[in-house]
Parts: sequence; structure tokens; C-alpha cells
Amino acid sequence: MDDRDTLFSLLGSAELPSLDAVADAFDPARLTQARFAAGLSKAKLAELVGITPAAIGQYESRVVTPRRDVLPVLARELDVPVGYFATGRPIGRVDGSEAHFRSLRSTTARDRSKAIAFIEQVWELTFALEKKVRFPNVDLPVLDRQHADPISAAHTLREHWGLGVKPVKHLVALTESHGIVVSLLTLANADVARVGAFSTSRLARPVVVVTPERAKSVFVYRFTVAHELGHLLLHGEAAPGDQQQEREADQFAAEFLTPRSQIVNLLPRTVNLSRLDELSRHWGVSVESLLLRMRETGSVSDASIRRGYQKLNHLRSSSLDAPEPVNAYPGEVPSMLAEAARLADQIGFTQIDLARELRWHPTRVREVLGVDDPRPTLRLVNDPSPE
Amino acid sequence: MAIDEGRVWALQTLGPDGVLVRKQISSIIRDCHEKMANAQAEADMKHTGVYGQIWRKCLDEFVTVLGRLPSAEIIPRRGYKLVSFNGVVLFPWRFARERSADIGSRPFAVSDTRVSLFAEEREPTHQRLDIEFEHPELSEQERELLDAESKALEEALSSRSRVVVVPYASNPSALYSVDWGEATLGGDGFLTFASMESLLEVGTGSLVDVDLTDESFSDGPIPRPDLGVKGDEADGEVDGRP
Repeated sequence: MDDRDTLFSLLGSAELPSLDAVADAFDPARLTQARFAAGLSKAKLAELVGITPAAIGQYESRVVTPRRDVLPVLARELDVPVGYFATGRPIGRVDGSEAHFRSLRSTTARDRSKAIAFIEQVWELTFALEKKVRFPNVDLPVLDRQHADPISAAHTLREHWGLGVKPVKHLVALTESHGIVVSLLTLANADVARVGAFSTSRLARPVVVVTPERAKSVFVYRFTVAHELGHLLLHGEAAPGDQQQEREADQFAAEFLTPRSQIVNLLPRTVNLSRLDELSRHWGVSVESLLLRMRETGSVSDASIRRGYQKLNHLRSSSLDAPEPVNAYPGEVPSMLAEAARLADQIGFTQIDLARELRWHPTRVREVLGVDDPRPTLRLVNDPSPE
Repeated sequence: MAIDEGRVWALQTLGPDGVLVRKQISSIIRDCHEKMANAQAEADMKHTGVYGQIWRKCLDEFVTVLGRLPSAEIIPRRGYKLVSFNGVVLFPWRFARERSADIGSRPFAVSDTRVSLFAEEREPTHQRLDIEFEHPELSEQERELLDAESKALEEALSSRSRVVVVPYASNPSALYSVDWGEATLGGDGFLTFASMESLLEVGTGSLVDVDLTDESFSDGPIPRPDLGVKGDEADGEVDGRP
């Protein structure tokens, strides 16, 4: 069941804005955002709506306003309520150069735009909730980015959060408790999944989004979150495609999760996978990450490392080494937004109110909150068609 | 055999270097396995013949590494070199490629060289040394006669020798077991071990062990964000910045 503007819509017809009102308050940035969120080019959207690509360009550049009869079609094709296109609420604006993307080389500009639209929506939802719920203050150390290096930044964050030198427990819950929004994208969306993860510190409250692709293994997922923390601390201005920034974020993540001073004495002197698996489960990092650590320490040859990877791949292709899913680790599942929504609900600000304020379908609200649809699944049990 | 018993047995059998030998054997075989498995991977061949040379690699490394110990004696045997301690010969034996094989079910005496381990031998090259020099006065028949005499003399001189066999099971993907024990060779070509100890966990090479009393990344209480209801507060600063 979806929540479109139908007879069964959760928003009463009296609450739906008139087409005149939307047209009068039409915000081109909202059309662009919705188009990016849907992953559509101007040409594709124009084809779906039945107008010219030039018309879409003119709507988005404020040259003309869409006709009244086009607005519902645009809304239907972009899967938003018509009211979404109207001004009157804060918009999280993130430029492509202000967000960091994992797997950038394998992603297209359209994928990145879609990811940015999602991160903007996460921020807008957070902003709407913050009117009703007090969130933790953002608690990140301030570094001199001109001179900061990834290793000392990792030490600084450990010290700032009082983590000592032990394994970082419940990384996502810890990150949220320090005021950073983490969202695990539940959309089975191939486009954004290719992005892997993304984050921005350009909005008032930093946001980290991880896609399902990175959540198949809790160890890869933790490293990804730590990688994004590295970006938030080290890189104010993102440089899309900058491999140096990616390397630095990886170095930060490795040092943050497995401080060299500790791990160097624990790594075996040969590629002993059972030992590495034991360490992996203790520190919450993948065996691959530990193999890289072994290479860094120079305790084994590159050939041995290569063989370690071959062994791992063999184990995985034989299904002898199944990944550990994130949802088996409650401390790694984002919960702050859902918990804030629950508190807001207690004071009468329901998910429907949230959807109304954001001008989203309620399904989208639940998606970004990371909560399940509480309604029962209905199915047709009697085929009314004549035999 | 418990660890302490293992050390005692090593000292009694191999002399003062026994404990060190016991500790080093496992890492020698691990290292050989690692190198040969890498060589196999680098060769990128379906056939595992590259790894199959591990028997020779282990034999050489026993001599190279253990041969440095003070009481080690290097003894030549039919073109190979072996290391012995306290008069006891050490012989690494790759008896199986798979995990589940039973050592007792594998024949050992598959070559004259292996059989010769259990008998004192003078190195064949020494036997022939006398006729390495020019002896133009001897005919071919006379040379053969001399060889036969040498063989007879060798058999007369031979007596039983003590051997510690180190059986290990491995293939390019895994090293399954490393054991050791003093063995005798039966007339059926199978070995009988007086005792046997696994060396796989002796001296594994980790500098520090994980303290399992330490909590892992998923242990302990889960921190929760400190959220509170604002109630009817006006829309104010909502950016989370202190």
C-alpha cells in the first residue's frame, strides 16, 4: 500500500494544497531535488510527463512556471505529493562539491545527484524533528585541516570521545550519541547503492548515509562509517574524484578502528586466516582490513597477502564464510531519527504530521526514518474477474 | 601428550636443543607451506605440482634452520642431507593432502631412501670414493666386483637407527596437521609411533595473544543519543551546535 494522493490517502483532501496555491508558490529547486531523488534526467522526465525537455529546463531555471494540469503529472512521475513543489519550508542545499562519496569512480553524476537529494531530505527530516525534539549537540573535535593528518586525527577523535585504545564499540550508536545523523538507506536502489556511502558537513548537522551495498557485512559497514567520519573531520571541501582524500579517509578509518600501536602486536606473522578471523570479530573490522594492516607492518610478503585474498574469495565463493549482517548488531543500526520521531509522536506530532510538514508521502518519511510500515499487508483473496 | 610432557620428551630424545627444535618445527613447516602455496598461486596452474615440492623444501629448511643449533649434526644420506640431534634423525613427512587422513594408514617405505633412514649408512659417495681415482688397471668386471664388496660391507656395517618422523598433512589451501614422534618401520612398510604430539599450536608466532577477557566491538551497553522533548518551545536554534 502506498500513500499517494488517492481516495485512501492519509492526508485528508481538505489538507491538500490547491493547484493554484502550488503554482503560485512554485519552487524550482524542489522540482530539481525531486527529479534528482527519482534519478531522472530532464529528457526522461519530459518523456514521462509528455512535454519537451526544454520545458523541464525552463521550470527548473525559473523561466516559466508549470501549468496547473502539468503539476499533478509531475508529482505522479516523481512520486511526491503536489504540495512538494511549493515553497515555505527549509531546504537543505548541498552542492556536489560539498558531499563525499564512496566508490566515486564507479558512479555517474546522476547517481551522485540522487545521493545528494537523499542527504538533503535526511537533513530536512532531522530539521523538522528538531523543532519538537532536542538532539545531542554535535561533538566533533575541531582540527586544523591545513595541517591535520589522518593518523593524528584518528587519535584525536579517540581521545575526544574517551575511547582509549580498545575496540570501538557500537560505532553507529556512538556516532549518533555525539550528534551526527546516520542513516542506513533502505531503498533497494541500484543507482544509489553504487555510491556506497556519502556524507556532508556542509549542513548544520553532519549527515552520514550508508547504502545497503555497504551494509551486507557489519565489518565493511563499520569501516565505511569510520571512513565518512574521517571525511567530516579532515575534508571541509570535497573534491569529487580526489583519490588522495579517499586514501586519507581510509587511513583514518584503519587507525581509528585498529590503532597501529595495538594491532601490530596482535597480527600473526603469517597469513593465518583463523587468527585473523578471531581478531576481526574482536575489533569489528574485516579480515581484508587486517590483511592491509599486515602489509603496512611489512610482517608478510605481498604474495602472501595476495594469497590471503585468494583464500578469502575461495571461502566466500564456497559460502563457507557468510558475511555478518548489520541488523544482527543493534549498536550498529541507526536509531536516533526513529527514536526522535517516537518522542515527537508522544507529544502529538505524528509521522503523518511530519509528512505533512515536509510535503512527502508517509512512505518516504518511514523510509528515511528507517522504520517499518506498521500497517498490515493486504492481498486480494478473491479474483472478481469473470471466468 | 601434554605440553610439559612434550618438552621433557623432546629433551630426553633430542638432547639439550630438544625444546628449541620442538618449538621451531611448526614454524618451519608453516613457513614452507606459506612459501610453496604462494609459489603455487603465482604459477597460476591447475596442477598442484609446484606445491608438491614442499617435501623437498621442508627437508632443506630442517637442515638450514635446525642445523644452526649447537648440537645439530648434518648427516648426508643418499644425495640428501638430514639433521640429527643426539644421534636421532629428524625426517619431515608429508603423509596426506587432506585433513581426515590417518597417519597409520599411509605406507612410509615407498623408497629405498626412506627405508635407509632406519639403518645406519655410510654415504654412498664415500663408498665410491676409493674408485673415484683413476684405476686404469681395473677391468669393468673388477669394478663391479669392488662395488658388490662395498655393498656387502655396507650391509654388514648397518644397524638400526633412531628416527623422529614429523608427519604433516597439507595442500595449497591449508596446513591441517603437524605432529611428531619417534617411529619404527615395520616389515609391512608402515610406521609405528611410540608416542605422538601435535606441534600445530606450539610456537604459533603471535607476539601477544588476544585477551579474551577484553570486550569486543559488540559487547557492553549500547550508548543512546540524549534526546528530549522540546514541548512548546519556539522554533529556534535547531542545528545542534552548542
